[in-house]
Amino acid sequence: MTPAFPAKQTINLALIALLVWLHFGGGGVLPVAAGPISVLVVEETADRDKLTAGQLDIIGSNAPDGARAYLKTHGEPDPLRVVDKDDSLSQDDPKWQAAFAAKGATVPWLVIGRGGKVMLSEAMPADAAETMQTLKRFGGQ
Amino acid sequence: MGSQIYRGETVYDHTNFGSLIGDGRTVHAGGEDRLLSRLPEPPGHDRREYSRPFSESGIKIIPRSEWSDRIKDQEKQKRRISDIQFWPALDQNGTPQCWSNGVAGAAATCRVIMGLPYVQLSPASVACPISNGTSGGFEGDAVRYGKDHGWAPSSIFPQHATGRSLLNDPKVVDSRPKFMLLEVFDLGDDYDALGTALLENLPCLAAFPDWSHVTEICDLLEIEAGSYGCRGKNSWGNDWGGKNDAHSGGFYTFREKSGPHCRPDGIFALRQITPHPGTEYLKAA
Repeated sequence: MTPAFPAKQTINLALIALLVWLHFGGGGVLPVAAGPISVLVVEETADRDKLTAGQLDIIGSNAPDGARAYLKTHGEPDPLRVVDKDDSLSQDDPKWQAAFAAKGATVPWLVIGRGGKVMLSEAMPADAAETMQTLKRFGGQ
Repeated sequence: MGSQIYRGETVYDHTNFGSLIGDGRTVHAGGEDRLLSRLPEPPGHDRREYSRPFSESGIKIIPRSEWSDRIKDQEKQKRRISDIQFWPALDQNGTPQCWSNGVAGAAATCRVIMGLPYVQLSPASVACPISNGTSGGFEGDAVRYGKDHGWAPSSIFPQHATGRSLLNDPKVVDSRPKFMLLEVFDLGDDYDALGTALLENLPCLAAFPDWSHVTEICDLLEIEAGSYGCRGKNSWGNDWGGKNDAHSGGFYTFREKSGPHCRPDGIFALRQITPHPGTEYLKAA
């Protein structure tokens, strides 16, 4: 007996749905439910002078539109770490250990997590606005 | 002579420095008689045992030609170290522990720059094992103790404590590894290195030999075009000095090149402290 929806048709429908979603605002970014986030920035502290102004802002700015202020309202409890790539986080909360384990090979690196699970791990954008956009994608507007 | 006030904060130079030093050993400030208790570096003291020269930090000295623009950018983006200090200034409260307060203040700031929650680190937890907390000291000894043994939070080791009774308290012993200094640089009396460290958001501390005092140093400032100074955070209580937007007090400014009184020495920059949340010590703080 032939199934009502053969496997090939199901795959085609899924592909069409994906294309439609990408066309209407998906922008190539998978949707995520917004909620409180934790943010880990991994840097090479000896190379801090190589960070862009935008990266320094993410790390250190207390401006109302900066990451630290954003995380006060959209972050999990204890929502930020800025650590060296060679640090040991063995004494820190397990969520930070998990985030640190997900770091990439380059610095500075950005890891976003929620509930101890890593949601995004990528090279940190040079531009602060781009990083804030990424944080808001996971943490909400 | 330049301005004596910068954005509401007193700028100290050779003309008004006398108000800070009293009789040379004690000055009445912030409602208390403040003991000026910094001692010179002891003979044989080796800073290399616990710190590295700033030249080994990997950070290039920022040319003075860039200072003005960078300072303006830091101010605009609220990226100065003082911009994130939302906690009240330490208060020595009559103890001769400035040399330990300046270090503990900078270490607590270092934690917050790393994203860790603010925990007040007890200056006395380092001063007591070194000097019983009842006599003056050298800031390098406090830096070394923080690196070798760590601090206890003020919630379990009161910041004004003296004596040795708390040193073997199991809670105190258990807490120290959670608050250890991991990386510290010795800047000597190099003002260009100090400016660079502050522009790169490394909290510093400095001694002022003619003041016999040590404080945390937060920001590099341009008081007038081409004239610089450093903003410190004193440990004479929150009502002394200027306040930031979060009503955190203790801020003052020393103008550069305004005589030997205002020349910082014994400058250290802190870069890493144990990544431990320390939230179990917040409730009682």
